[in-house]
Amino acid sequence: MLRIAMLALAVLAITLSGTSAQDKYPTKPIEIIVPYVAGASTDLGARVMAQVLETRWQVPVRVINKPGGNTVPAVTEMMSAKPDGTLFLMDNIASSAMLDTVVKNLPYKVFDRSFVAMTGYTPMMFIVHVDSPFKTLGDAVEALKSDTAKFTWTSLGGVGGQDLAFRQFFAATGVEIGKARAIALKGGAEAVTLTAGGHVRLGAGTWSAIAAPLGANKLRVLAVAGNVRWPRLPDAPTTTEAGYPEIDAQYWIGVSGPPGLAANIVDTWNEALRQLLADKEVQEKMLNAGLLTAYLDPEAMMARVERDRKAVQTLFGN
Amino acid sequence: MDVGLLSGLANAMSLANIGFALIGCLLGTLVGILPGLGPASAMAILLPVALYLPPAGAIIIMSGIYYGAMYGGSTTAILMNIPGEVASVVTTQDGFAMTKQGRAGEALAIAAIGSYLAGMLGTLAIAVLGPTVADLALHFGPPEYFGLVLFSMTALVSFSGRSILAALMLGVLGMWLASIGTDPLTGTQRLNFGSIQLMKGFDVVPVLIGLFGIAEVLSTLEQKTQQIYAGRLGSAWSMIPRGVELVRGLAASLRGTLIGFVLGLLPGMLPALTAYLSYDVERQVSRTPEKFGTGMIEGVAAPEAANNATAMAGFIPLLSLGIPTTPALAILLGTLMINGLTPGPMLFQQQALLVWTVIGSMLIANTALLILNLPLVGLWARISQIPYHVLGPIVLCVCVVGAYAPRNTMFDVWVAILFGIVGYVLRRLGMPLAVLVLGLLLGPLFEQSLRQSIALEGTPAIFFTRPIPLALMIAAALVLAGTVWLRRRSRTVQGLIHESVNQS
Repeated sequence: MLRIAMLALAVLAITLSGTSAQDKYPTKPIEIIVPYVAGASTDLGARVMAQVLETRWQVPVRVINKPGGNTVPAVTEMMSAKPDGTLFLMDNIASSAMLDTVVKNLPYKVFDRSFVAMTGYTPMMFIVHVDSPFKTLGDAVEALKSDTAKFTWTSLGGVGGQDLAFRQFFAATGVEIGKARAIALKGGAEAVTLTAGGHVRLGAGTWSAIAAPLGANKLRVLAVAGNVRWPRLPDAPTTTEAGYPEIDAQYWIGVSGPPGLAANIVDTWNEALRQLLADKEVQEKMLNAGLLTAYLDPEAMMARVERDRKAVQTLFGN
Repeated sequence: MDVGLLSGLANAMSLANIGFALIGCLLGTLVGILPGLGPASAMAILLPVALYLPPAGAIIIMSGIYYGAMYGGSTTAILMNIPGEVASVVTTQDGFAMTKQGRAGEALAIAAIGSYLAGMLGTLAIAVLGPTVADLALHFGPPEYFGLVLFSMTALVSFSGRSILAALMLGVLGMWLASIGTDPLTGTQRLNFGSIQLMKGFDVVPVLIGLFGIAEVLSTLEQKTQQIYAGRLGSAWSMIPRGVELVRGLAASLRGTLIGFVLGLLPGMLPALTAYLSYDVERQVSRTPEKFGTGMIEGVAAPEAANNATAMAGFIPLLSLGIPTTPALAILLGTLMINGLTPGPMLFQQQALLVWTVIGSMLIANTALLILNLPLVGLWARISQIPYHVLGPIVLCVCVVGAYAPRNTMFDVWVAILFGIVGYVLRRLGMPLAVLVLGLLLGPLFEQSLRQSIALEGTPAIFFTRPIPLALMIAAALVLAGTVWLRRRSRTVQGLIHESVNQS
């Protein structure tokens, strides 16, 4: 008897939630998986966004960190979740455009996911120890060409913006990447610390990791990837200004959901994200976390992933 | 120059700031007591809340959680042989032995006093040294780390009890387990046997919960124990150590503080590692090293002081260089950044009042933690008298939740259960579990620093051409030779001890 009653209740609950999901979204708590540890740019970007969404939608929006495994475990969990609008991934260039180049035999295709929107980006910056003889990116290129075998650089093993920046750097200079000396590290913060300690000749990093040692006068920024100067570094040239427009490594973040996400859910998110990213206070917080806000709708985000993926395949295809 | 420790302390005394410190301490003690739930996860959960608070309040709460957890972690380690934090693994060795002798109060009290001493001295050191010693974190490149890890590995050998070979194998097993998953340096997959779950490797926390928590419950059930300690416990006041015991405990706390603080200035030197090292040092300086593991007060005081000192020391590279030395401090860095505060020497100048308020609140919070913990000693100690058929299931529940919490995955719960069985078997065979954990903790640092060092110069000669790694390697060799010599010299003595143990 009890079992039948329980079953009836369960059925009722499912029907109720089913109808309410169609009428109004969101009504249930939302989880956003961050494929990295708490405290870095991607995580902070997600938390700033979650906080605003929570007030707007009046449902809990939780950020959950599932780090490790080249983001594959986190992406896999998102891909196999129900597309009911309760679970999303804080997507980024590494977990989308670079994923199938870096990890072979993925059990799904990169473009199977439902792209929701891109929310922000940060350019990679080339850095040296404060006493380094390199004053410009050109100095570094000259040293690379004249003394290739002793040229040490920071690598994270092909998973993210760091290696994208260096692959572009090597491609632009025409020096074979394997001839220089890659120092493999496990995280972006470590790459910055090692450079600030003068242990490597050229490093790279994003603003959130560079800001403090730069303020402590341990580092210099040689160039900011792309063609836009970083707002907090008005004097640092861009790679375009330095004569290397091919170096354009941008680490971006955005939101993705499981395959087959309903259009009304994607629309609700886009409306909310468009508004919150235009908010001055949000922009300030994102900038504090080292991110510039940039909104791209689902189609534009997908096009961006396609473009980045092609570039990555060319650079890493060896 | 107007703003200093005194004005910071005065500002930290404001009602709101004292409140933030107390909330942080309470939360920290709580997550410290619960195995699995560590300060990093608690701080990550609180991060959105921190956005609403004034910057000083947010940082005071966050830091309170961080060092509060170091206090709380020892409680379950001492009472139930289950470390609440990785940092308290080594405390179980003598802490739990003391509980079984009915000296739980003494162990808890010296852990709290040692932590307090380390916290206060650590805070004063931050105030006095400030940014001047932060550069140490930068001077340590891969070769220096390799020397340090190798030196720490000698702890493995002296930890090994009677069979060096068995302990070495366990240490290697720990390092092997640590290497499963994604190669941290190149991102390639290894030893995952095609499993997506194994790609992210074994997290230390679930393995630890299995080896200590679940295995402990299994072994206790088998022994048909009614309760952990059956005798009478005195009043809380009478449990606090006196006389010679207190002096020995305090001396060990001071040594632990020094070791924990100096090493804590380096990234990657987790409180858990410095706790191990200080325990090892205690054994080296002790006149009765063979008694460690049987309830020596130094074995509780030193590691508990060391893990607190390490927690405090980490604030120096964090505040003055923006280098987080532990995952929990990385979240604190995030809290600073999101509030628009960029760490660095400039922070001490531009935000002097804020920095000194945070430092002042550390003094208040540590005192609050001592006041909070000492009267509770008697209450906690009573836990050892709860009937085991009540305590056991509760502990198991906490273990399962704790294994799930850090990475939010069921896989880790299965890992904990598997290692519960592994731990149970190893215990029955009389193997030292702590060595396995040490291998798991040090393995990644050992591998990475070795590979990076060789990549830097292309040859292992780098270890002999730089002064710090060379000195550390010589020190490691000396400790090793010393241990072997001591073992040989005291073989007759050891034999006698061994026999008497078997006879009793």
